[in-house]
Amino acid sequence: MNANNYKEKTEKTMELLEALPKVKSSAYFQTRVEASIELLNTNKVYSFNLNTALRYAFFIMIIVLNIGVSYSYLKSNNNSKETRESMIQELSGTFFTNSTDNYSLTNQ
Amino acid sequence: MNNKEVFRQLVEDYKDKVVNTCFGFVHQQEDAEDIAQEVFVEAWLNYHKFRGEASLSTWLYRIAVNKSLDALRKRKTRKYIDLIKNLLHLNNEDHNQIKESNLDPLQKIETEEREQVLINALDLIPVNQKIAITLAKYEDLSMKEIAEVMETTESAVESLLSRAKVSLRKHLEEYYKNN
Repeated sequence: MNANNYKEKTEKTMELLEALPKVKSSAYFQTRVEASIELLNTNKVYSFNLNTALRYAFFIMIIVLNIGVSYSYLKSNNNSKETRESMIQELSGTFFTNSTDNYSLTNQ
Repeated sequence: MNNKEVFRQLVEDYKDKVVNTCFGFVHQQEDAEDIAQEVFVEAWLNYHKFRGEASLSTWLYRIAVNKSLDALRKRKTRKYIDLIKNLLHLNNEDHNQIKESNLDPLQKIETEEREQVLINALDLIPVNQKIAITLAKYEDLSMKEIAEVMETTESAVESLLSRAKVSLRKHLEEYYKNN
């Protein structure tokens, strides 16, 4: 190819550098930007609620479990205590009954 | 005026500049608008980080340049398909292009082809040179403004522009020699 030819084409193309096409935003561009910001805010609120709800649910579950365990422990303790008390009463009853009988026999 | 209204005004004031800057990198209206949308979303999310050391436009240009370069990196594999679409005029060059033409149809086609060759050559030059020349030629920013966007000195920008033209010439000559 003729050396001048490609140099000439190059320079002619370089001239276009001073007149590159410029564009403007489309008519709905602003609306789509605002919509995407709205969506962002909605998602933020949604995820905030879900996370918070899960967090609260977890704490409530821990508290309920603790209450349940404590109640069972106390109940089982109470049961043992009642059993001991009834045993003591029975034994006491027997003792006093026997004592009374003995007294009666002695005083005859 | 609340945040939303301030932001709405910001988008209104800068949307054309941002879209045009992104167009300077990706050369397609739809892609430019997608990237510009991301720019404004990022501006919304990070407005609290804007320290006011640079002007608002400089800050937006920086985000636009970074987002555009990210998009170009992701788009590498698609570039050959885009080239074919451009040559076959299948890209949507719609009414949003401001450039007017008084050329006859044949000259217009020739000009468009040379434009495409120039755009392809622009994609081949080093990134910093590309940023400088895109901001200078698409956005008509001054050396000072480009230096603020690129966080460098005016003399560095001058050097980049000069080297960008040399690189472009080299690629164009190579193209025309082989075609």
